[in-house]
Amino acid sequence: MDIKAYIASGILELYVLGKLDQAQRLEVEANAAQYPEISAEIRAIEEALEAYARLQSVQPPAGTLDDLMKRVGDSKTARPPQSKSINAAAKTNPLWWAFAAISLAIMGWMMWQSGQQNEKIQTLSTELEALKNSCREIDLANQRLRSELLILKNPDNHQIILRGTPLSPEAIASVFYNPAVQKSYLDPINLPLPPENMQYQLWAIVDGAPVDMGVFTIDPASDLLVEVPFITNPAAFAITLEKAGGSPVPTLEQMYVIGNL
Amino acid sequence: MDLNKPVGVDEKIVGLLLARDEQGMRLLFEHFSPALYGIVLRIVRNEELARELLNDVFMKVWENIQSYDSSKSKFFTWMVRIARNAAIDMARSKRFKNENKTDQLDFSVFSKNEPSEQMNVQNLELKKLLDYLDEDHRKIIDLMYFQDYSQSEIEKEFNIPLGTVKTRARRAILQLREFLKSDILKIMLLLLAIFLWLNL
Repeated sequence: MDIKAYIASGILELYVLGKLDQAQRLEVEANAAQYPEISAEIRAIEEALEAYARLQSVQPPAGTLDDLMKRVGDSKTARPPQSKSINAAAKTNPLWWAFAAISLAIMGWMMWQSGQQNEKIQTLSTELEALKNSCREIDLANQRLRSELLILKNPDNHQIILRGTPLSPEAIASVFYNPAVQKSYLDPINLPLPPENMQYQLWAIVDGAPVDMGVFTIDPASDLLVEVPFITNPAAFAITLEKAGGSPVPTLEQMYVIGNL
Repeated sequence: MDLNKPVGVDEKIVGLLLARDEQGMRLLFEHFSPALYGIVLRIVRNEELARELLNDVFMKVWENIQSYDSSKSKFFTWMVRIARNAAIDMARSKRFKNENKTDQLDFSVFSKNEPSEQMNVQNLELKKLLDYLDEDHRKIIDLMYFQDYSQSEIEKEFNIPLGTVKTRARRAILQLREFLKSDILKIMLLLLAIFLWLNL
């Protein structure tokens, strides 16, 4: 269909002016529903005629509105309200709906944003807590390491290396012996893990006789020094494997390492 | 100058009327009574009758608002149809003929010499428009829009060929649109601004 020619024919003007018969009117309405240009043209014609009528407005005499409202009131009491075929709310200003929709969208977006933020805060505070904990642990380890370093740096310190016996040639340990401050430390550098119910026991050899320096456990996760009792005038240190709790005399067949001063 | 009214007023009034809200009738009257009264007054040419007719029209709008279909026509177009039919019916009634003592309706176009009740901006604007439009064109609009002449009636009475009536109606309204376009755009923007300011 040639829409331009159709519009130019003047049929739409006659339609708005109410001059078409039923068949022509239905045809125009069908075309208007199909082609936006046609419905826009009809709207423009209507607007022009409405403006033309408004230009020729005459104010009705005073009291006309009062008469009208009285008639409306009478008709309301005389007849029950008619059922509404169209929801009145659907006829409210579309701008309001647009405004409401935009407000809702903004509110929704803000709520979603704040939810996201909360989640982020949760994750961050968990992370912060974990970092604080690890910081504390590192701090503690650092303090111990510093104190160990101080021991090792002490000029009066002697380090005695305890080497593996034929029973366990790979084993090695060392004892730091400091007569100036009267302290000794053991560093179990590499000892095989003892069987169950067995423990290593450290001995000092003083004047050819073994002196008990206590039992200790091996913690593979830790490489820290273990403070041990200070013994005066030791000639050597040795470690034997004894049953848990230690033995009053060393089991010499179970000597793993030994080192002379 | 009241060439148009705020955007959305039609919808608001129709919504209120559908909800049987009397406030809708007040708004209806406020926004449409001068234009519709102008139309019916031109047809019946009697203030007393025109006033009664105007309220008859508004009562018909009140009672038949369900049959208004906003997808098919503007609210004003629909009301003009009601007003024109009611005015023509009255003009043809016995009572009208008795009161006016004449069988022949004066279908002459709106006379420029008619005593002006309110010489205001609107009338000045109207005069500008009347000067702008071709006499022949204006006559076609007036006969069809206000007086409810059919194409064939115009053909007979004014000796204008049927095809010419149609094309002249188109040219007349195009001329009208041209004249209104510049002014209306400004006014619409102004009214839209006011409307938005009032609502938001």
